[in-house]
Amino acid sequence: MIRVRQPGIQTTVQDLGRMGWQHLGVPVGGAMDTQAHRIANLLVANDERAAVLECALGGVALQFTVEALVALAGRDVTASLDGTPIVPWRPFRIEPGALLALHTGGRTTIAIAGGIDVPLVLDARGTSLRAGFGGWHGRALKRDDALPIGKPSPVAERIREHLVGTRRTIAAWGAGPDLVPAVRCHLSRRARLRPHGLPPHRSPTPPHHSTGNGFVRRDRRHHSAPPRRIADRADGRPADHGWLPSPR
Amino acid sequence: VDVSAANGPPSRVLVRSIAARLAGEALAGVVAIVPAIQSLTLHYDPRRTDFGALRDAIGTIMATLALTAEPDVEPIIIPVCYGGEYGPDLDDVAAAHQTTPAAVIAAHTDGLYTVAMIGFLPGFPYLEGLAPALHTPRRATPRTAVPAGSVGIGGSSTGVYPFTSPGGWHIIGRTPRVLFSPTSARPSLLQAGDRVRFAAITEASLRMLMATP
Repeated sequence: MIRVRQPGIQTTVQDLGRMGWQHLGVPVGGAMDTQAHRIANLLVANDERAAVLECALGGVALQFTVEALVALAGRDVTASLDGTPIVPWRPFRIEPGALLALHTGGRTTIAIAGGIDVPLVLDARGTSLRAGFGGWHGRALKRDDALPIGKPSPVAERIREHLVGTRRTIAAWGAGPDLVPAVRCHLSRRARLRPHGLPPHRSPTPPHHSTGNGFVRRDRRHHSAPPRRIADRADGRPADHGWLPSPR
Repeated sequence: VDVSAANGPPSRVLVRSIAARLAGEALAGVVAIVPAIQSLTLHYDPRRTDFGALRDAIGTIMATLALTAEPDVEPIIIPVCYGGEYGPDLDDVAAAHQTTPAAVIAAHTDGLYTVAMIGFLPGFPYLEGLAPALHTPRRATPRTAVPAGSVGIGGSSTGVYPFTSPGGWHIIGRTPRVLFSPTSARPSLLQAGDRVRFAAITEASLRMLMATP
């Protein structure tokens, strides 16, 4: 179960939308950032349509009563787990009682292995705020809401057990710009937080390189190489994961 | 599929006929068929079909289209408490047409309406058939919140707000009927093509009906 300690500006349960009811005026809705939604779900071995939490900006604090495998995705995410900074785009495990805080972000997806276990309403689990149905009682989350978590997939359990066995909190692997060009936005954001929860003043922006696909990538020298890669390029060359921030 | 330029039958009949035919053909990859007043939108999964295939399929359908007659169904009665705190714009509508609130109510309850489409909000009916004497442009300043059940007039349409929402139509009354219940097997009270009549009720009846769901 997830206990909402701070709901933030607007945190809702979302999925990939409510298709097939537009003839009755039902909006499709769903995740604002479907790429982040799908990738976060895949990182915790959920079906990509599983229900997640979508947070607007930051100021969200969630306490977990059970062990969980979680992934954050979105732009400009700074977050911490019991005060220790945690990066997006990688799965991490949460122990019972731990407090996950999302300090800043744009629209941030918080995917939990097993998904948020809210009932299907018109074939979907996302919140329709205007009409007040779906998701968590048809509304944005409030302080002290207690959200049920679904059963994690066997793969999610294996990932979590592997993290426990290797004494890691966060996986050494994740999703990168070969999957999501937008991921580059997180590359040099070292999520070290100051005591009041704000991100540090950043050092001058490192030089940008064109990647030839219209996106720019920050200088890889600012980042450590990943221990494992999870995707190759379409042209058969190995994926370049030089962007990954070092695990901590 | 845009039928606004088509000659012959009313666009509503065309849209309805195309929708019925598409529903029957169950084209692969089509995930939603959405009828509007002068057009119909197909949503499709690009992994399962593509634009060209759908365009060709629709071309075939249009070339061999048999018009679906509008069913001669009994109208659904929507009880409305007109005026007062539940219909704050009734007097304005009457004034705009140099008539009395009672005459507006009489004209509104006299009409037999057809649901042209459902849209804007889940279950919101755009109703055709409003007496021309009641056609009223939207309010100069929309309200940020119109209560659920509000009955409004906007231009040549009348409709009912199923949920509390921002709204720019003139609100002339309130109905206790629930227009949309997402957990019911038939979520929307109304569907495109349905017939509707309004019936005036007293404020006491409204309060009683609103208290008993």
